[in-house]
Parts: sequence; structure tokens; C-alpha cells
Amino acid sequence: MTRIAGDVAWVVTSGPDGPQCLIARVPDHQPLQLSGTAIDLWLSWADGASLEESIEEMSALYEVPTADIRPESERLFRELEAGGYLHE
Amino acid sequence: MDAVELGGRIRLAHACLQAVATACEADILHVKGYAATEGFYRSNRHSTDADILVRPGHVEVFTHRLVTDGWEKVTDFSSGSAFHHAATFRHPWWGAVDIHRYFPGMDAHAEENFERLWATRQSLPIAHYPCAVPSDADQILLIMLHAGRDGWRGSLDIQYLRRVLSPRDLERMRRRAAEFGAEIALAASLGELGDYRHHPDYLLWKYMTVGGSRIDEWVARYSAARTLRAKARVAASSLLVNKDHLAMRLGRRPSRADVATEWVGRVRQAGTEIGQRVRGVLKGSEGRESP
Repeated sequence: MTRIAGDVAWVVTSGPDGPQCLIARVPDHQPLQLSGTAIDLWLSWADGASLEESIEEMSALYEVPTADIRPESERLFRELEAGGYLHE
Repeated sequence: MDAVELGGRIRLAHACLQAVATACEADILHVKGYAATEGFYRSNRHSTDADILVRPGHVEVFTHRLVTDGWEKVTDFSSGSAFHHAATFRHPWWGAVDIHRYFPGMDAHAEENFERLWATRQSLPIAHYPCAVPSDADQILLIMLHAGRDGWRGSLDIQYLRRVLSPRDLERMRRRAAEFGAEIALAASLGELGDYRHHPDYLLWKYMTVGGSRIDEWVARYSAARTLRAKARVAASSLLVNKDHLAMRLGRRPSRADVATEWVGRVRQAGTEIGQRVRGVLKGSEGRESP
């Protein structure tokens, strides 16, 4: 089970190159911008999915082997976790 | 953040302001625009900034905290509008926000009126962050009160609300407006200002709804001032240069020479407007006397 940190605000909005997700630890951290499949991962985590569950969801959604997307998914998750944006 | 869609940035600004308020224990309510419950505006309506109402007694601590957190004051309360109700702050990440110390139309008893709004507040997620907003009924009332001084966009807001509100809802809004002493502001929005022709704030709301010259604005503010001291302040301030607006126009902090030049220009402008009026009056009286 993943939880978004209590001081995080986030929006999915339209950017110049397609959808983008802005996440910020308010009030004093500069917002981060996610794009592409990183948005899908974020939405999955915001919905409470664990890292493993989100990888399986993405695998089914994009019809790609879990092994292909695991390293990048894990890297993003750990970076956001280290930044205090989410936790397991 | 320039490329970021404005609506997204404004929502994040609301969340940031709530976090600041919580940190310094200030009571704030997020009002209008993206802070409104879904369905209270027509779907294609856009806002350009975030608006919040701060408990009057908490304004100083809140605005001080904003500056500490890197927000820049763009306009002061005294220079923001004819109502002197809001100051504008800007942040490089979050954009512009209007900090209201009271809501025009509800200004007679600002502290009591804030408490009245606060007592029925609710929590609404903005950018997935819990923010304090007025009750649904009060949100609608605030949108209606604001519409009267928001030009074409405001008239569209009123048209929309008149379509979706039942006569019973509208009557409820009138009763709620009366509780805040905001009857004339609501009348201005509903096109019923004529019913308040003898109200001290009539000229002020007329100016806000239909516009007018700088002289019209000062006459309106003078009429609305309740005490002799307040009237004297309005009269004295009529020729003071608004340094915040001058800075925005010049794109830099104005020098003493800039302020002096602007002051002379204002005196000339006031003289010209008064001259035009005098000529208008004389012309009118000539016309009436003509056979």
C-alpha cells in the first residue's frame, strides 16, 4: 500500500507537450514535473497501489513485460520516496 | 513554470497558501475561481489567480509569513482597488494571489462576517490538498457578490447562476446576503441597484458595475465614507500617487521624479475632468434655457 505524503499537493494538467503532473511538497519545495508513463505510475500510487501492483498494472496497460518496466518504475518510486513525496 | 497550464498552477497556489496558513495558525478561506465547488461556474470559465479571504485579525501574521516564504507584495491593500480590500502577492513558482482582508459588500463588519463564513466552512481538496472553503451556499453568495464588479465575465456568472438556481434558492441568497449586510452588493449583481439609490454606498457600487472616470470613483468613495474623518482621508488621498500601480506600469520601482511627474499629471487630469463637467453642466443649463 502506497500513501502520498500529507504535505503533497498535485495536479494533472495539459502542458505544451501533452499531459503533465505537477507534484509539490507545500509550501516550500519547488514543484516536480512528471510526464508520460510516470504520470500513470503516480496515479497508481496515489490510488494506493504498492510498487509491485503498479508495475503489474503498467504491464497490463501497455502490454509490456514487467521485467522491462521494473527498473525505471522502481527508480522513480525510490526517488519520490527519498524526496518525501510518498511512502509505503 | 511558465509553460504550465495556468489552472494547475493556481490550484497548487491554493494548496501552498493553505499550508502557509496552517503553519502560522492563520484562518483563511479559499474563495471563487478554482476554489469553488464544481458546478458553481459555467464549464468554460477560467480564472487568472487564486483568491483567499483571511480572518482580519490574522492578516498581519499571514502576510508576514508569506513574505518570509518568498512571496513578493505587488500591491498593498490601500492601492489594490477602490474598496481597499485586497493585496496582491506573487511567487515565482505559484504565480499571483489576491489576499482579501474582507469581501466587498461584506465590509461593514469584517471580523463578524468572517466568523459567520468560518462557522459553516467545509474542507475541499484543491490539488488533492485539503483546503478550507465556505459552505456551498456561501460560495454561491460570494460568486454573486463578486460578479457585480467583474464586468462581462461577472454578468455571465450571474446569467449562469440565475439559470441553475431556483427562485427559492435565490430568495435564500437574498436572506443570507442580509445576514452579512450585503444587500446592496447583491442588488448590484442582480441589476437591482436602483432600489438602493439613497444608500451611502450607491455611487460606489454604481461605479464598480458601470465604471466611470477617476473623479466618479473619488466621489463614490467620498459618499461611501461613513465618518467625517473617513471622508477627509478619501479627499486627501485622491491626489496621492499609487506607487504600486505606477511600479507595475513602469516595470520598475518608481523614483521620486517619477512620483512627482505622476502627481502633476493627476492634478492636471482631475482639473481636466472637472473642467469637462463644468462645461457639461453649463451646456446643459444653456440648453434648458434655450427657447
